[in-house]
Amino acid sequence: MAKYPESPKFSHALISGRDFVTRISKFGGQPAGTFNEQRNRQITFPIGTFTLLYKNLLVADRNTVYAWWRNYHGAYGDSTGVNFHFFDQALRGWYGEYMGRGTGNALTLDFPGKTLTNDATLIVYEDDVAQVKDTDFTFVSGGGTEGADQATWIVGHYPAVGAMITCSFNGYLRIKARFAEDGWSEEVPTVNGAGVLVYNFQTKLQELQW
Amino acid sequence: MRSLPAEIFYPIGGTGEILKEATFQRHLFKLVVGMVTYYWTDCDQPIWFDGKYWTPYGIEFSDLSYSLDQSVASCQLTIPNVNNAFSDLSLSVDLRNKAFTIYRVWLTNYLGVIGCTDERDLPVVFDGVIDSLPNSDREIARVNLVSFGVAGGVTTPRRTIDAACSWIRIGGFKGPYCTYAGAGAWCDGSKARCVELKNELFFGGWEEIATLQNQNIYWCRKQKFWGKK
Repeated sequence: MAKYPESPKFSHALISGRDFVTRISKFGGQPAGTFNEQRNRQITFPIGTFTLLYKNLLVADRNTVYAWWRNYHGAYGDSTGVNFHFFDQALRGWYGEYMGRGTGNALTLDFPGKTLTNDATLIVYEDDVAQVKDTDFTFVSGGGTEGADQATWIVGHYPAVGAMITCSFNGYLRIKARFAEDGWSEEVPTVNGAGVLVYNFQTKLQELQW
Repeated sequence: MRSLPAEIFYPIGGTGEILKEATFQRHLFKLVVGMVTYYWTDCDQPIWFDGKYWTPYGIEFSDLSYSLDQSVASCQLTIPNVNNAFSDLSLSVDLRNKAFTIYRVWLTNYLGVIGCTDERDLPVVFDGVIDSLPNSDREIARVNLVSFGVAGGVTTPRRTIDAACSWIRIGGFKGPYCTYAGAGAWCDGSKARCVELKNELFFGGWEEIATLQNQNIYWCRKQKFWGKK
């Protein structure tokens, strides 16, 4: 899986929505939040869309993004339908992100991010139980796919088969994504102060489950 | 249908009611096609349960229909079919009369199944066979299920004296009451199938029931037709 072009930079990444889904029943015409309310959680991890705004790109940079969109056939994926990874451009805190499942054997998993701050904010969980860094696992900076950081479990501390491995961290989030829509649209290019045509457009990425 | 796992009961009152106002509740689906068993879930991540992963598959079901009258318990599923995987499956093998079970599970935050460690412990939402596959298209496959009882001509679920084996619904095939542990992969609850599996000692139905149907009631050794010839 390739990663979405990190150059050109988008001017702003708008997380327009990262949602859980909860089914809520209300009875007796009472308002939400009353005793009669029942809630049922529908999904395990929130799913979001990232809208990337590109401003004043030179034609070569615009072509890079367009070529990427064309190569991924809109919402479909590459020639075999495979999607891509996207790294956020802002360092932020992320909590309860999916890493993988235990196998009962030796295990190395990529974090869903890179350039993670290797301090107390970096926590790995096995079935919601925090693991101890350098006792249960070791942190590997940048050893994973497309530069993702990794965790390698230490002998005798391998996660049980089927165990849910999640993590919290500060860093650049990595998501599995596709284009949210099939279409490509852009504004009519304008001329900047140097008399060069510049391009403005946006792309919208749909986060996918790992 | 089994009772709910103790963990989701009201922990203080112990009344057995679901008083917890929020649950993480999903379903497990099992389709048995010959020697192949498919394990699916409508959760967004695989659920590790009973020694295997139950794979996410966007199945929805609706129109569960139970009744005390003579109608057959039924249920309709919708299954994603954009990649035609279900079409391929249904074209490669006759899915009719294949066992399909829907279980309800209550999940922890990390997708552990609360209160159950074994498939036989799971609350059963529907236990039956595929009846028909109507109106499937390029996006959605539809599957109609009917109760196992349709083979025995009985209505389920209800507690009654059935000609078909009750253990199918109570503990399930190969369950603690069925006790069968051989290589057979399916059972329709009939006495004939039980004989095939050499498990008739544990057959959980009352086969004489069928012979009593539509019989006249009389109190003598021999039925007499007073005033009739």
